[in-house]
Parts: sequence; C-alpha cells; structure tokens
Amino acid sequence: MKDNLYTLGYAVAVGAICAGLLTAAAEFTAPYREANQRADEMRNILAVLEIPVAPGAGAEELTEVFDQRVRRETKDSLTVYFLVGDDPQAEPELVAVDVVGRGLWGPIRGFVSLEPDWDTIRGVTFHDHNETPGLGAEISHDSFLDQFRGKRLTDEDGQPALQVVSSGADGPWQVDGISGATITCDRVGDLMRDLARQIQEVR
Amino acid sequence: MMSTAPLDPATAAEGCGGCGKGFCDGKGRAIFKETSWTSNPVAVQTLGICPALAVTTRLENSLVMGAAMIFVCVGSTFMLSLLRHTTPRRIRLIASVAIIATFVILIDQFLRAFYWEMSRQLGPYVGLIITNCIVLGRAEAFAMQNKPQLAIVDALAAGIGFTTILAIVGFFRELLGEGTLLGYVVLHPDWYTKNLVMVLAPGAFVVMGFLIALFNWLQQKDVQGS
Repeated sequence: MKDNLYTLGYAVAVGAICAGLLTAAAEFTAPYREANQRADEMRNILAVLEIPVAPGAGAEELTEVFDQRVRRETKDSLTVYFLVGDDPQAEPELVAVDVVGRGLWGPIRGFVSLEPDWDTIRGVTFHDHNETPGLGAEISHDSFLDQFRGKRLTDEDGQPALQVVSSGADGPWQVDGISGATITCDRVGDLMRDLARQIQEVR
Repeated sequence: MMSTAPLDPATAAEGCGGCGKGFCDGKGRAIFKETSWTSNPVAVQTLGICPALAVTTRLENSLVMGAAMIFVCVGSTFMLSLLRHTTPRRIRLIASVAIIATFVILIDQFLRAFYWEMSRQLGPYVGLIITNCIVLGRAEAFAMQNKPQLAIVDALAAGIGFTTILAIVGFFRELLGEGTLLGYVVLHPDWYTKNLVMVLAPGAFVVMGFLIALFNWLQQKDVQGS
C-alpha cells in the first residue's frame, strides 16, 4: 500500500514537473514562433506575387518589402493582396488571395496569385498543412505547384472547373496529381474550385 | 592498445565509489571509448538508423540533428541517473520516457523559435528523438546503474559517436549530391554533375555501408594489434 502510494506520488510529481517545464518553454517561445510564422506567410505572399527577396532575408527585411510592395484588403471572406507597382494608381498587375481548405489530416493553407482577369493563375504556394510526408506533403513542392501557372479557375461558362486529375492532365483546367496522395489532391481541387466560387461572390 | 578489457558498464561503476573527481581516474576515458568507438551507437550497434538516413542530405542538418541528440541524451541520462535510487522499478520506463520527451520537446521548441528554417528541414526527426533507441538504450543500460558524472560521460560519448557518423554521411552526401559543403559551392556545377542518388535514401545506405565496413576493419585491426 505504501509502495503504491509512493509510486503514484512519484508519477504525479515527475508528470507535474515535466508539464510545468514544457508549459514555461512553450510560453517563452510562443512570440518567436508566431513571428517566424508571420515571416513565412509574408515570404510566401511575396513569392506568389513574384517579388524578389534575398533567400536568407530576416523578418524585418521581409516586412519592409511587404509594406512597400503589397496592399492588403479584406473582401468578405477573402483576403486579397495587391501588387503595388511603380505607379500606385495603376491597376495592379497581379493579385494574390489566401486560400484555406480541408486536407487529409488537417487544414491546408496557401496563397494563389492571379492575373488581372482574376481567373488565370500565376503562382500557388501551400505553406501550412499536415499532409503525409513524402506523399501528400509533395503538394508544397515546386514540381507540383509549377503546373498551376497559366491554368484557369473557371471554364467558358464561368463555372469552377479546375481539377487535379490522376494522370494525363490536358488543357487549361487540369493539373496532374501525385500518386499515393489521391485524397490530398482531390482536396486541393476542391480548394481551387471553392476559391473560384468565392471570387465570383466578391466580384 | 586495448589495455583495459572491453568494459562492462556494471564493473565500470565499481571501484569508482566516492572518487567524485574528474574522469574517475581513467574510468571515464574507458567508458567514453567504449560507447563512442568500440560499440558506436550507429556504426556498430546500428541504432538510430532512421535519422541517419533521413536528415543527412546536408552536413549542416546532420550537425544540428547531432547537437539536438547530444542535448537530449546528456540531459535526460543525467536526470535519470540522479533519480536512479528514487525511481520505483515498476514505472521506471514511463518515467524515463517522460523525462526524455521533456528534453526533446524543449530542444524542438528552441529550434522552432530560433532556427525556423532548420527546424522545417529536419521535419519530424527532432521530435522522433523521443523514440530513438540510443537515448533509451543509454538510459536503461548505463544511467540507471551509474553515478551522474559517469552517465554524462557515457551520454556524451553516445551523442558524439552518433553525431560523428551523421556528419560523415552528411559530408559525402552533400558533397557528391549537391556539390556543396555547408552551403558553399565546392564542386562547381560547370564541371561537376550532381549525383542524385546521394540526395535520395539509397545514397545514405551506400555511405553507411562503407562506414560500417570501415569500422569493422579498423576495430579488427585494433583487436589483433593488442
């Protein structure tokens, strides 16, 4: 009986000390991790808007470039990032929107940049997701993302049409998926068609 | 060369009672050699192969992974050795894993906060140190029976043995696979064709195979020479 109590007490004590330490560490690093996350988002927005930044640029440098070249606007559920050119009054050459969708294990977050027609895709990034490493996680690799360049969100009738297909992608509304990651790829397709709908509502 | 017989951790602890100074009169050195060289965790015991294959595409990644491993190994075995008389036998393993996990999460949080890029590249492998056989192996086989100062020496030896192997594999894979070392161009792309095999997992297996063969050969010579 005494033994059991000792064992129980010991377990509680070890658990409590470890938990306390970890809570303190998480609290302490939280602002730094959030800053890293924000910098990462900015880096991705700048990347889809094709604004060059030094590869090792720190958070401050990124913020500076971001504030100078990007104008942020919220339209209903859509956050839009306009590329500000040399002439601030001119029509933006490129717009980026943030996208969120369901993935296999958790949400997929990313940015899509569009030509001024709000339909033709220039670039796509997925910066935050929990897809399976080596399979679904390949959606954030350039080999997959580069396919989206020049594809269109809606067909001639204005219906959301972009699809991720298993193989033999053809035409402006299809991109090749990743083998072994069918669900993730289907969800990416859903996400792009949702984006088309959202854009139609906003415009 | 091998004047001391291969060390049994249990006998290593004996005769060290209360010396408390430095390396315990050569005992520490013998333990260090045993754990890092004679029974190197990766090359001889073939433990920790998963990170050795996964994160060694670049030398820098190997070194950071090794540093994380040394931190976790030294920290947790030291704590476990301190607590070795008070830990109830029945929950020994659970307590070990809880303490190891604490150290792993600490270093993981640290990397996420201050080395964001690196932490992204290492992916899940820092967190997976929790399940690494080397840490739990040293905790169970050594730290639970020995004084804290010896446990530190043993854990350092295991960590350094691990890091050295990772660094060697990372050196060859980065050099041959990408033509760079720590990010600096060594083999210029104008005249060097990057070897994709080295970037992918098979390259790690090939380098590891050569390393293990080299280890066996050197150690056989060591035994014959004595």
